[in-house]
Amino acid sequence: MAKKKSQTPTDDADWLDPDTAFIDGLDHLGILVVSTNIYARLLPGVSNLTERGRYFSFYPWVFDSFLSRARDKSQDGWRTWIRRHELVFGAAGTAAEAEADDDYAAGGLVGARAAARMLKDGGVDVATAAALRTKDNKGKTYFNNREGGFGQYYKGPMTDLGLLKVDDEKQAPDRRLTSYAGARIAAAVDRLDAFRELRDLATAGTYVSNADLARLGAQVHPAALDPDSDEAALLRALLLGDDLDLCQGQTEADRVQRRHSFALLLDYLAQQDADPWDAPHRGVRWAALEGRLGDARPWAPKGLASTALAWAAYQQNELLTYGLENLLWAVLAAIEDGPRPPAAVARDLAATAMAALSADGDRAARPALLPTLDAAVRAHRAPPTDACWGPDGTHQLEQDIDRKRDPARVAGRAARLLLRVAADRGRYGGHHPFAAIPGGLDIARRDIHLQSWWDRVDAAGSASTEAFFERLILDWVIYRHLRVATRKLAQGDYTYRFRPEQGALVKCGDFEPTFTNPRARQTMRIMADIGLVSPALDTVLPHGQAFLGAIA
Amino acid sequence: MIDVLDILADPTLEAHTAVVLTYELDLILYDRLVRRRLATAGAASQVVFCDATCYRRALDAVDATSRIGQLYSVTPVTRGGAFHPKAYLLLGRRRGRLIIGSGNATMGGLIRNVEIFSRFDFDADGTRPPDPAFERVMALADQLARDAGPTVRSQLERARSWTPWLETPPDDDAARTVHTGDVAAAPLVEAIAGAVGATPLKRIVAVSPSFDRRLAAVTALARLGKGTHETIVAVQPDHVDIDGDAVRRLPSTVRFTAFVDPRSSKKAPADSFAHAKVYVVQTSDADHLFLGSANLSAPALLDGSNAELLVAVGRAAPGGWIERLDLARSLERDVRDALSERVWRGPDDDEGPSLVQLAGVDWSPQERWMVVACGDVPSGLALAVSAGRDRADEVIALEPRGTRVLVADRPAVAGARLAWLVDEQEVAVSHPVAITWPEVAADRTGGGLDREADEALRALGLGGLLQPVLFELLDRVPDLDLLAHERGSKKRGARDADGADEARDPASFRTDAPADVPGLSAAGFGDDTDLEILATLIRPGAVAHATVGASVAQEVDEDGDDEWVAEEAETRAQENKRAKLDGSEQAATNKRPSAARMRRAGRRLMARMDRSALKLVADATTICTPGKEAVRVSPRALARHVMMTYVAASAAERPVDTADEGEIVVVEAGPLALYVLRVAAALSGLPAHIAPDDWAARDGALFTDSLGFVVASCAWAVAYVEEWYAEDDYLADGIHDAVPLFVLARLLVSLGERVGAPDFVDAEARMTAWPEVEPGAAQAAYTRARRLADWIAQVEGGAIKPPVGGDLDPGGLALVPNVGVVVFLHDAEGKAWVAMPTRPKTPVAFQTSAVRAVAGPAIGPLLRAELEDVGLVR
Repeated sequence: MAKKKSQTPTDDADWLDPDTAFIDGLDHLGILVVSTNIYARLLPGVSNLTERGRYFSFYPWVFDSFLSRARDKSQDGWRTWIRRHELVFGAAGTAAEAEADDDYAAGGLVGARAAARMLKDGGVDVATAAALRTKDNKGKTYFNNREGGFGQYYKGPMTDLGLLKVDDEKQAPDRRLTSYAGARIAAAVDRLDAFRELRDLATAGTYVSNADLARLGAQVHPAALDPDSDEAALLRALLLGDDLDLCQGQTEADRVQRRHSFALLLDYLAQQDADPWDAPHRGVRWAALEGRLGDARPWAPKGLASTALAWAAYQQNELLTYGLENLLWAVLAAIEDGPRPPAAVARDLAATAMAALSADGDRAARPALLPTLDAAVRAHRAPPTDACWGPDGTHQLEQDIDRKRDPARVAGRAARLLLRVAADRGRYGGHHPFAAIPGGLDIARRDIHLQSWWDRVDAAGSASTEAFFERLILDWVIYRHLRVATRKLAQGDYTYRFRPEQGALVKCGDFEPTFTNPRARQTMRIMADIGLVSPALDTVLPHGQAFLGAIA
Repeated sequence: MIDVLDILADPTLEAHTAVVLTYELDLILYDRLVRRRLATAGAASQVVFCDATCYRRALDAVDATSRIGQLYSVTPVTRGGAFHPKAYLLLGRRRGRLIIGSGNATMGGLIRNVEIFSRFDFDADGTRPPDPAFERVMALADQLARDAGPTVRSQLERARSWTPWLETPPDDDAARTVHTGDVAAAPLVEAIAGAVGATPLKRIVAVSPSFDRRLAAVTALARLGKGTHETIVAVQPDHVDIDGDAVRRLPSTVRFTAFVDPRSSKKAPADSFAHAKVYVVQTSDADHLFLGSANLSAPALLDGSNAELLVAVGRAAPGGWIERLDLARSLERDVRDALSERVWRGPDDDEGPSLVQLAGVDWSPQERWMVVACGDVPSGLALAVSAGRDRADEVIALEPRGTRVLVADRPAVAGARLAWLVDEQEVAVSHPVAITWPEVAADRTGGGLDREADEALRALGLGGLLQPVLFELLDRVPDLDLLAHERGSKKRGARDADGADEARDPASFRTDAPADVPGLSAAGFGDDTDLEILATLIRPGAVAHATVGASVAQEVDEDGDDEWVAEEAETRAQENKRAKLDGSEQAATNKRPSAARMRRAGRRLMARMDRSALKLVADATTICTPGKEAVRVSPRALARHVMMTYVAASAAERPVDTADEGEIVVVEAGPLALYVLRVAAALSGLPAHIAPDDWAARDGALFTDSLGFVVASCAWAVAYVEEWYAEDDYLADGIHDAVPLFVLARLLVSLGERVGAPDFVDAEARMTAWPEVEPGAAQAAYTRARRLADWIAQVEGGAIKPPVGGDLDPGGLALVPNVGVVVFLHDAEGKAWVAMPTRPKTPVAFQTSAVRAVAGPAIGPLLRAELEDVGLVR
């Protein structure tokens, strides 16, 4: 429960003390964790929150200079050191961005929003702005985490990359630089005059004007990293797993997997001339699933077949998750006007799902679902791959789900997407779909994922399609949500989107299905930072071409 | 206000059985929350009765993770109307708690809705006999059990045998009366009328969410007495189902008003529903309050077709109950006209009765399959058993035994959860019921340590706080509110070239068996909230960089813990805001928990330590008194505290890596020291009550083996308290922190030769707080305590005769005839006591001439100096 309450002495008659805690929550069906675990395996060592490559060299340098130069080696001394350096780095970069016009090179700087606020006043008082947050200075400092963005976003990934290691003696800081990676990269940064200037500003803690920050930022900004510098070369070797000595702090599996995923993303950028998607990090997911680029050309990157298959499994599992979450959305829509029994909701949604769907704008007509499940699955086989982006392609089935425009048909659209996921198994050659994902079979010990979906469908055989979906909605959507939310309730968080009341479901929250973010956007930007691809992601640079050549 | 789940989860009740009567049952909520709260009170045996119609709906939620039929029994009750009472009864050997009210065992009933309850407590050590309400509810449960399966009957029979106070004469002066609504009883409306006797009625105020279509019960209330009083019925107009025609036909003395949630707006969830059933009968000289399960409907109040419980709470001054329940605002806005326009919707989705109503399907090694029906059953039926509802895994032929019992001598079906009757064509002729397995009635409170716990203690003894231990601890200690239920595989944390722990998922804690402990079986899976939190405390680093562990249990998967997808959550938050990273999001990343959450977890653990120690000390104070020498204590009960000591020792001062504040300490050394010393104080008396045979048996041997660590941690605690709590102005809580060395010495005296050398091996690894004292301080404290213990033994054995008389200064030691060596203390008010660890406050009530004062002030380190003076310490 969220709280403990004292009992009043009026125990002979009293009202129930309700638990009123309510949070939005995220994983309402307890299935997103499969996707997040997969992408953590596909791109180890980076995260959705490690946006820029240069932080992987900047922080080791801050560590190194703290150990060699800081007078106060205490916990607070470290925190002050890291926060001030990070603040000056972020503020300088932000000031430089304000004077530049290359949008894609901008962003991803730790503390940028707070820095931008401070820059409006003409400069930054470093000591004040980097001070640890207290009740008195709330709103005047830039970061809650006592170790700043390093502690919040980069500490874990940098440890995974072998730049840092846990300090067994729990000194301050609680990580140490590794000699084979962290110290080497720090030394490369320390040779740059701009970073010495940055250190002087950070240690002085005085006021720094916008002009001085912008001048500094033009040299230290992540986008300003010289691709031919030692620093960039070391970062490439670290992230691409080229140098075994440098990478000795990484597990071999992580090093190889990250190397291959970087190569896959880079190959996509190299091959994809005209991106029909709104962003390449979205396009690459679909291209991996279909083995086709946006213009329907085949895409089979050399030496990366297994990696592409792993990404395909991730994306297909995402479609399963998306379909189920849309069914949850449909359940909520079904009780929008008042409580209804779970069985009635499931029955009605299943019946709705069975009905034919008429053509609507860019969406083609869809026939009624066939009455037996095996036939319905067969009817949802994917079209030939050269038609994968056409009206019967999986992508179009996903696009067909339009909750705002067509809320009444969401269950039907979701059911068709799920049937496509059930039918589309050929690419795995009879193996487990997660077999190409490192540790994928462990992930598949969870309850709901691609293979368990196929198993469920197969077990139902030629059962009634409508009954199958009715039971699916009860088991994997309605009661699943109640189990997950009850679990969270026991932890003190009330995340119910609906709850049972007198045998009916009462709506108590909203929900929007969406896809997870598999670190691809961040990785592409990091690749630009370390000189593999142009900042606009439209040209693979010589270092990138060499990398792809080595992989092939 | 009353937090039902909170007051049910009271470990001081030492309950053995919980009986729940409810109309609706939310099986998911019961499995994952209610059951565990009741287990926290100690109720290893849980018996639930619910309405058969609601039961059928509830079973829809059964899946492989449900524990129905395994850890608690649920019996569907069929009535002409509805089985509608709501009661929560906890029975212990000396204490009991009963809550009767309007809230079902559902999310709304226990957590969210506007519900009303009345609470009854009994304590055998108190002065009042049990309220008749206890026996009333228990009798109802007994009656229900007569129609249920044999396992449920045995649960209740045993509950009675373990609850002797139920047989004692009840409290004749009880202020409250519990009325049972049933066909055999007088209509409940008569109980309401009877409360006021011949006194003229002034007004009746009713709160009810549900009515009969003809509003016959409303009419009956309006016609009570002379029928001239005002009747006000408060409803939630948006929720109530009512027939406008019937509203229009009501007498003009009836008003309908809009119910206003009496809880503050902060306390009133937007999705709450006014489900309370309240009747305030007002006369010119008193208010009479009735509350409980009975709606203002004919089946509840008039014809007895429903089973109900209604509590007549008693009298208050005129207007008193209206004021106390803050009902005045609910009497203001008239909605009768609006309701008179309503169209009756009627009940939703009633499946109707099936051919045969089942009361239970049991399997036991003795009886094998036994099917109990609510009435006579036709011949030729078979039993379909299944893991789910969709199809039968096996169909078992049945033979009749009497008219309503069918049996089959067939083995159990693995994985089966549900069963139903089928005809010769295997067509279902009954609704499914959950199979009741024998473990529901297993004696989980009275037995000894089993093999797993045995192994767990061995693992503890080998120096690591290992996962199996945690699971066994969680399983066996109700305080920790955890249950193990599956076996898993092994995985050890590998180490990389730099010696750092391999990154692991929190889930891997559930499977982290130490492979190098010979004979130790695989770890169990925990399924409780506290598991992850405790695991985080115990191995904080592993939460920081999560990958998926080698084995993930089904329930782990269902956790849906949002912190596990924190990276995704923060990414979405940022993308929705189109924000650049600036750290203002405050969301956890990299799967590390928030500092607030970890602090909360730490507070919970410390509260549990506190509660656990206080309970043990209270037990010791009760048992270790003259005249109770024959009381026997199970070594198992004491071994539980050894386990708790291991957990606390590992968690205290151990940094936890948090997302927002980095590493923080959430359990400090001080509470650990006080906990250990309190346990030591209790253990200095209780082992004398362990029977010789029990010492020789496995439980006793395990307890003995574990004492080395207890003594070592106690020595550390002595050093800690002497170092940190020795200021002049420190006011001790009790003997344990006033004279910790004396407490340890008495522990050593008590254990005698049963304890060998203290177990200081790898102390720093096992006790994170070990460096909080000076190096060698714990070992030195032990040495001093050992000498003191030897000296006490000699003094009490007569080998040393201290001088008679002398000054009894605070902190001085003295030999009291027939008691032993005690310490002389003053409390904050200057009142004098002599104290033994198990008798912390004994008034000075003996002949001082018989006292042999042996040392002066002895609080903390001073004891050492005093003993040096008498030549004991050199």
